[in-house]
Amino acid sequence: MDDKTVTAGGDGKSSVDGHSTGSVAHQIIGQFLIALEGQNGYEKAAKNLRNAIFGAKPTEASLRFAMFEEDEL
Amino acid sequence: MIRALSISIREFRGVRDLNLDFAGKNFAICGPNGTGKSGIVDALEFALTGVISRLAGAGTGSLSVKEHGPHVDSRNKPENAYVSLRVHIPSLKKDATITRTVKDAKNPKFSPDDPEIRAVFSKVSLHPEFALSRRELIRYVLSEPGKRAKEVQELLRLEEVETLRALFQKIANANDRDVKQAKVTREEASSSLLRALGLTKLSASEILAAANEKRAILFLPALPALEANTSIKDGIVSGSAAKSVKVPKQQAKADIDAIKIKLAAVQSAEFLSAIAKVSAALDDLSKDEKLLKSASKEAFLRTAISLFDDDACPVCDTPWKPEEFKNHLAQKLKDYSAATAQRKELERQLLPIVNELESMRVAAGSVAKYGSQLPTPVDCADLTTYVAQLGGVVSRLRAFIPLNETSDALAGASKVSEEVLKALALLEAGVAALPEPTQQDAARDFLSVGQERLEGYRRESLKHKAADKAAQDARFIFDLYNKVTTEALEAIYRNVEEQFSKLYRMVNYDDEDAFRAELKPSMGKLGFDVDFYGRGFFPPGAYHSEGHQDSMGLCLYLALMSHLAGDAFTFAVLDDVLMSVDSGHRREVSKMLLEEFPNTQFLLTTHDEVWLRHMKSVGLIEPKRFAHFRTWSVDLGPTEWDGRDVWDEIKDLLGKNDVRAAAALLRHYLEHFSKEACQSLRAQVEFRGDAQFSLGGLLPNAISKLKKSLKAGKDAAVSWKQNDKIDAITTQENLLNAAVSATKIDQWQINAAVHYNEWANLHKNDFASIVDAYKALVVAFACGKCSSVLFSTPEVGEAEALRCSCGDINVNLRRKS
Repeated sequence: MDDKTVTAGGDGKSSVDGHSTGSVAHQIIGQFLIALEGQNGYEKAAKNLRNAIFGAKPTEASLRFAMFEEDEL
Repeated sequence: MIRALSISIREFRGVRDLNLDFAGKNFAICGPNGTGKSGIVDALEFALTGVISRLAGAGTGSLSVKEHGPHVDSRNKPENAYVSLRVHIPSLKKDATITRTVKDAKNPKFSPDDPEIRAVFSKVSLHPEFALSRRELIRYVLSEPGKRAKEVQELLRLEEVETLRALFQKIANANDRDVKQAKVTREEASSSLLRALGLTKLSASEILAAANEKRAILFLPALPALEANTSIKDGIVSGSAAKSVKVPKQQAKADIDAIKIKLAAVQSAEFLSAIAKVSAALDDLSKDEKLLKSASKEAFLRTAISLFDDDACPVCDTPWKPEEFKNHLAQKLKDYSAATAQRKELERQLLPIVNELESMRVAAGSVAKYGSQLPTPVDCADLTTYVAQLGGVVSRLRAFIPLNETSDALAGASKVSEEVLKALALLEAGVAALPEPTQQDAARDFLSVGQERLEGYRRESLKHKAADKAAQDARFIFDLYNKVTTEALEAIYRNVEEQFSKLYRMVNYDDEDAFRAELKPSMGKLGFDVDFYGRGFFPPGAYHSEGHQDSMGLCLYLALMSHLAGDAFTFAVLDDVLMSVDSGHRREVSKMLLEEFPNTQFLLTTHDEVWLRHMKSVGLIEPKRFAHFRTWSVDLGPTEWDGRDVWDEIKDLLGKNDVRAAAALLRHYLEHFSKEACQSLRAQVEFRGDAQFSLGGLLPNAISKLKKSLKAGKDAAVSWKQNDKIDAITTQENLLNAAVSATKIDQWQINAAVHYNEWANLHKNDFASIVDAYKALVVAFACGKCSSVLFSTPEVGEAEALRCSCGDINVNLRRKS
């Protein structure tokens, strides 16, 4: 799992490195990921979700795997 | 992201062959309706995105870029139709060209072709909102709140936020369903365990007490506690159960009693009434063919959206732009919303029926196993078939679609065949005929079956807990996502609201300097209210005029684009966006664009010459950065008001002996030229409220003003003893005087034969000499080096100099004091 840097701006914006396009949508989603990372017990899910969301087109299956680390069989 | 340097358009839309030099600066395209202005906008959009908006979307029917992108005379040669756009990319400090043909619109050519440049053009292609027409602009202002939110979110490219929200919601909902399912299965395992142990309440102490009672019979030590890994049969030697009795009589009897109760339940009046109610609703739904089709297609469409790869339809491989594909399917799904609501309600009513049948299936399955284990085996094939049928019914009811299959499954849900009842009766008799086990055997059976079912219960409990945890996590993530994204959107809207209000105040500072606006996001909607002269907040269309609404649309667009692109907002095309705004406010719009967006290159189209002048006088448009179309024809496309075209065209007309047309063109052009000259020299003309100035009211005044300026310049040069200047001005004066004399303008009022009203009646050769004279006059107004019309500076107050664009002519008008 590669590390990506997500930094929150003071004006409600954030910048997301890695695969993010830096669009407004990705800035907003980046803010969500920062918030999730800060929640006890959700750090890993946040990292997995960042990869699933910014690494490729997210699907229900990829998000499920990111959240629960299990394939839908 | 980019600044446009130049564009070449060939055989595209209404254009045959046109080059425009933007030079990375603001650029205006002016001309009457139908002269090809919007064709330039189409060409820009096509070059950058491969799409022409006006040929796509609602109401465009069978129109397409491939069929209707080429000029009508090249419609069968799409390879000849192309647009080549040269741009500067500030972030890379590079210039690059993108060339796109209609024939191969999806594969533009890049020069230079390197990944960085491709990446920039790729990003631009995803932002077609750089071009804005009045039709689009007004959407932001007058839309309904729900629709406006969608429009604004589309402009801000927020669909990914919504797509992800929908996925998180889907996962959370699916996990909630999983928990319910796991709970049913765990409860069934619980019932089975209680039956085996002869208990009515599931508690560790009661299980322990019951187990220890049986263990005492077998002289096994009492268990001190019941923990997660405790085996109540611990100590029993494997295989020591009475071999002659494979079926534990007491437990089998309890299971058969339980299934009889369940059979009675599924045949009870209450259950049958519930089935009848749902069946009737299903029948109603089935009768509505449209809804039925909707219900059938909905799942398919949702699958199509999830499988779409941003390139082509997953079913037929037809290429689609992502936004258009999603909008297309979203509209279809919206039409199915009534069916969706009915479906959800029916699924809710079906759930207890499904749970009851599933419970029945599990119970019947475990009883059927006893048949072959009895001393005199009982044929349980019918019972086993019934169990399989129940499984099919449950699956059908859970799937819901197709409706006819759901209806059929429901119709047979409560039916139990005579054969099944007979098999159960035989089983019951077989179990009853079993010899009563010894106390030790009974205790051994009790502990073995009890342990087996305890393990089953533990398994299902763990599954339920895991499902519950996953559901809580999914719901937590979904709720957090909603909270964070809603707050972020509210922050965006607050920012946009402030910027929008500021821009609007700049344009309307004369009467709305305290103007404010409110953008209120709520449940997928975006309310937009504006202050009306301190009387309260109202929708923009409530009291504000159409002109004010136009400027609101522009200001909201600019505020949104500023937020969307930030420093990358370097390029915008505004296609006749201020039709309804009066000239005074247009001047303020020009100032606002210049002051607030110094790093944005605007390409503006307008049919209004006055606004073009405003743009130039305010400095939004530099002197040469505009194209002024005078006419359009299907053969030539748009024709500009530049001298070369006009004189060549007049010559061509005279070659065809069409003096009337040549005379009309010369007069039309001289009127245009005179306006430009009067404007640039600040000549005085008689005011006309209708702005319909004639050639006679303009050209003499322009000549007079130029003569006066040259004379003032010569006087000043004399006072400063600048002999070289005096000579240069004298040369210019002589050129002008000779040209004026040749035209005989000074005789217009006294000699009707030389008046422009008579030009159409002249012989070709006579008119040709007039054309030559006026061409020389036009040249006398311009710099010999750069060809720009001479202009006075400054634009207001006392004139200080007469100049040209390149600086070669710079005549000081101020005498030495």
